Amino acid sequence: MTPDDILARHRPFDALAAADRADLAADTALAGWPAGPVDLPPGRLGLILDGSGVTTWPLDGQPVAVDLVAAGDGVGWGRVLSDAPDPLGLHARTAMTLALLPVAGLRGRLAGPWGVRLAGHLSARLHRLLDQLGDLRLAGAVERLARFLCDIAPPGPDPVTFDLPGDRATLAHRLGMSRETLSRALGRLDPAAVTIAGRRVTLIDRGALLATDPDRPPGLCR
Amino acid sequence: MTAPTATDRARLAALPLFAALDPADRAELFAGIRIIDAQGRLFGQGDPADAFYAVLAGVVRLVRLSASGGETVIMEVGPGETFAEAAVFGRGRYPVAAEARAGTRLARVDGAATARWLSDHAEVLPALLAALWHRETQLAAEIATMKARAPDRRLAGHLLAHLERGDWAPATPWPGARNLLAARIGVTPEALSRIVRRLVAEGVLDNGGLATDATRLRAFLAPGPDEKGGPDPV
Repeated sequence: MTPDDILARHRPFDALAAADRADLAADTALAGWPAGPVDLPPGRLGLILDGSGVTTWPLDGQPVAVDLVAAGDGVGWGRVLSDAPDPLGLHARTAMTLALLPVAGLRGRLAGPWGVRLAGHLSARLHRLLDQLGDLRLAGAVERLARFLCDIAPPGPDPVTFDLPGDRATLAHRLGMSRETLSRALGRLDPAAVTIAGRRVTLIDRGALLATDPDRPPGLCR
Repeated sequence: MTAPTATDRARLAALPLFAALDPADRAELFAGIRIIDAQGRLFGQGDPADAFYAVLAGVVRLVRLSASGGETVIMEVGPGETFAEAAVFGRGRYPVAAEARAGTRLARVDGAATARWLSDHAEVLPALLAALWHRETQLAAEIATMKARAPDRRLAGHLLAHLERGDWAPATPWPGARNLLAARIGVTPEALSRIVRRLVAEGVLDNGGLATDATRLRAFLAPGPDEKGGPDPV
């Protein structure tokens, strides 16, 4: 797949004018990282093509996991949108391949129709973080796990089968709990609603899964 | 709602969001802005997002509610900041409720009119996108704090931030309501009382009124052993 094809298939770059996309693609390179901290090269935004990880925030001298990222997610938006250093980091949980886009080229296209599309894209990211923060403040461990599984499940009639986006340590990071707490929460899920074997999840009944959650009508996922 | 005064216009012109505009474009945009002297609920969680706001004076709390009665203050927005842009340009509904403290003065920017206006004034977009990014970093910091800091350290960090911003004087009683403070750090009022008792016993807070100073709070927040119950380090 060429860099132009890659940009054409991923939001929000798919909304670029064809000529702009080709221009950016000409200055886009691919690079791989092993599991561990990812140091993006200066002047580059990363688009994850495969692999998964977490974005991190520095707190008390340690990187703390903020959100899961996987194929299709962009990292390093702060470089494009702000003159200040980007405080968010990236930690790959698996080997990762990134398309590295030129920050200067993206910045030059903010003041145009693409900027409006990018505002919508960033708004969706903000809402996701807001949902996560609300869950951390207001929901218990089992409710957070049930909501998360419901939210990442593919659409369609039950039952559906899908893989967890990362290992259990990654899932624990995303949900803001220790691995031990996650294990206890997994054990408290209704086996008639969901089964989990390794990373493989079979969601049998969304309504039953969310029955433990007083804030969601049965069957309603984000 | 009233039209902006000369003072309001000067404050609006100083906002990063509008700084890139030339005076003529600024005058055109500001003509559609309405000023609200707000107190109490501004909009509800889930309401259609028809406008975003700039705080000219006072404070607005952004509050997340749950159907079971839970409530948490996601953040407080003060003078010179804007809020709800993401709702206007995103899902079209406010994901939080907004509550203005008494004495708050706001500029209401109509969402649909601004979206139309932006199509001819794209030079504003970088500042709008920067505002959205700033909000994303604030949320990321809050999420990291919730995941990695125990409630007593979240309280100390929150108090320290107020002292460092200068909106609370050292060695004076906490000026706000305790239940709002509890909602802001994500604990129940009862849990907050227990935390305060413990911090008073440890000498971090003075007995009664939460009075303290930055030195004591920084010492308490200095990196120590891993906390219990949080996620493992990355």
